[in-house]
Amino acid sequence: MQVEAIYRQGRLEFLTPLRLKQDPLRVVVEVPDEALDEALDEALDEALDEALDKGGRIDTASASSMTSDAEDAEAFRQAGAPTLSAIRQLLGPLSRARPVASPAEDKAALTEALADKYS
Amino acid sequence: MKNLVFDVNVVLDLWLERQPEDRLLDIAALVSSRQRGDAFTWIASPSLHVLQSVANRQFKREGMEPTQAKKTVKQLLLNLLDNLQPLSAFGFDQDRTLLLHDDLEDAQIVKAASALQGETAILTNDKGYDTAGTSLLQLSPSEAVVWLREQAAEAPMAFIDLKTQQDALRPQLEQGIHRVLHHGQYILGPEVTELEQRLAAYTGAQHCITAASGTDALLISLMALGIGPGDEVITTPFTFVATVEVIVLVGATPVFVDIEPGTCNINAALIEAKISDNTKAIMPVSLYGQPADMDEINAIAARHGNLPVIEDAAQSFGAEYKGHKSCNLSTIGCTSFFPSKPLGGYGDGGAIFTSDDALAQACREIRVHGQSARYIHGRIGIGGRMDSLQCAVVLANLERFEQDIAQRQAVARRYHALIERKTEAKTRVETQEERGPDQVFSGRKAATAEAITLLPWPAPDRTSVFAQYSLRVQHRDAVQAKLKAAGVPTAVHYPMPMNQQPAYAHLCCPECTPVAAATAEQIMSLPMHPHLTEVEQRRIVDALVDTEGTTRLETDEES
Repeated sequence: MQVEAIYRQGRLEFLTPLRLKQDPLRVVVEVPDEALDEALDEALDEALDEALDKGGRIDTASASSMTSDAEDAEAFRQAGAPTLSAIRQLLGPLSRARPVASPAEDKAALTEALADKYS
Repeated sequence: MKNLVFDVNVVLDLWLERQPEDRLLDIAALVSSRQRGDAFTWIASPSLHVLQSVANRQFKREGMEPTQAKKTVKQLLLNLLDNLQPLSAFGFDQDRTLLLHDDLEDAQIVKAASALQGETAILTNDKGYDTAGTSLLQLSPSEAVVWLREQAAEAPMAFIDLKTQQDALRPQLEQGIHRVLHHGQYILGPEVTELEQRLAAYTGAQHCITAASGTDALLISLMALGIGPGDEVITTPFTFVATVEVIVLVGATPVFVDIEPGTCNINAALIEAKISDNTKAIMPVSLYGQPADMDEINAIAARHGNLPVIEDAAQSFGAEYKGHKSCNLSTIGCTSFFPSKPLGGYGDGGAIFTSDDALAQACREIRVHGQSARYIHGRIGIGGRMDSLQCAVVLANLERFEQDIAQRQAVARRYHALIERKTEAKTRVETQEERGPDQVFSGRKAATAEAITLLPWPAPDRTSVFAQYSLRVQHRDAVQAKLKAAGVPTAVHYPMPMNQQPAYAHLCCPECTPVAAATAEQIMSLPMHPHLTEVEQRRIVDALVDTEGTTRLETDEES
């Protein structure tokens, strides 16, 4: 469906109230060409050139978000925060740091779990 | 888009918080990367019971009451499946070779991951999978973070990317196909009814009648209108042959009207002059995904005894014209679900749309050999049904259709901007070079600006679904050859107007449609699909503009 929205200060606000099954939700927004800031467009162009030279991937959501690799990596990491938070909420009191376990240890744990189940 | 298949060990790291905070955040970001459009993310179905068993055991060992442990693990699994799509382990894959592996679970994951079409990595901490004979990668979470930011491995560029579409919709496709195999109603099964209902609602037309192909949809429509020998149907010569073929097949005569240079659609202003007493219908084509001037055409049809108008919307399903959907803009609209279409199947298929009850009934009967009741054939018909399996595939693709249209439009907009910018920049350089050391302009036009002409962006009263992104280039053969050498596939839609084709040339002189003739010599389509990346488009445009400028200069020097 198409909904009208207002972009203000980096946020999109739907003019029609909607109850969504998912939050956050990825949407595709049509921005009128005349609303684009030319300076940003040029920045995007430069970023495209740079990324092409490096064979890299580009996020065109915002030209101003073209940042260093370290900043990109940190931004990517922070995108995981809602998911990690949701998992911790599900875990409740079980949410706690545990020692690292190797895949072999996990397989051993599976063997024990199956033994418990079928014994 | 790339695929990430999660190993059990990585998911358990996240659930049991067995890594430092920054690594947990990385894994969580990878888990949620499908929502952000960074990757298709998967959990192989053989991994699910392993996750359940190991997590359950861990929580019970930590003193949690068994029922509560099961409940918590169930919630964690549901949360996981909100983010990762389950990846099927097919029965036919569980063969002798697979069963001989030391670790059956790992072998099943490798086999399941191999079914994915795009670049695929197994996200794992031990990299102990036997991936010999596959193109699968094995990456740790920190490596995967970098890998997702890298450009996809250099691969032949696709003109139309159906592989990514398949990865995006794999669970829905498998479910739909399996459903048909299970109920066994291969002909006119429930998927046919569901698709017809959903498409009718989508377009706003009262009726949708699916057909075996877009061509059959057109043929059935003409038959339902009773068009036959001695009748004339006005249409465009600049189209795929099916438009004209069906007119001749019913015994009528196509009458060609030239096209507009901007849209390449039939020029409505020229239609009236071609209407005769024998004219029985007008059949405009909404080429490249953009509706023709339907209001003007409908008005002309109304002035001449309410001639029926059949919109050949094989390329434009989903487009809008003055707030109405293509296929619901005239007496009848016909579309195609050929795999390359914006809404396609994995085989042939098509549909007829109308709000005329009698016409709809006629179309339904003609589609089934003219049958009005079992073994009662009240009219001549054809075997023109779309099968349930194809309807299931189109239903799956329908789930992403609006998103695909938006992405196609974004890709087209980027093409427009990049080509204009690159052409202007090159023209500036060429103009400076032309001025020479004495600063006297030679008078020759800059090669690039003259050599590439964009088709205008659709008018504000309509949208295009960009089934094709086409433009005009001079020296097309040479440009196509050079783009091909640069790894950029192109196509020509269409190299010859219908009134120049051997089978139809006797119907109309080529000089009668000069715009169509000129367009056929220069039109060229660039790769177009919803998953085309900015980097790929930049590569295409660089190759196009550099190639066309060079080609022009070479040609000038030769002459």
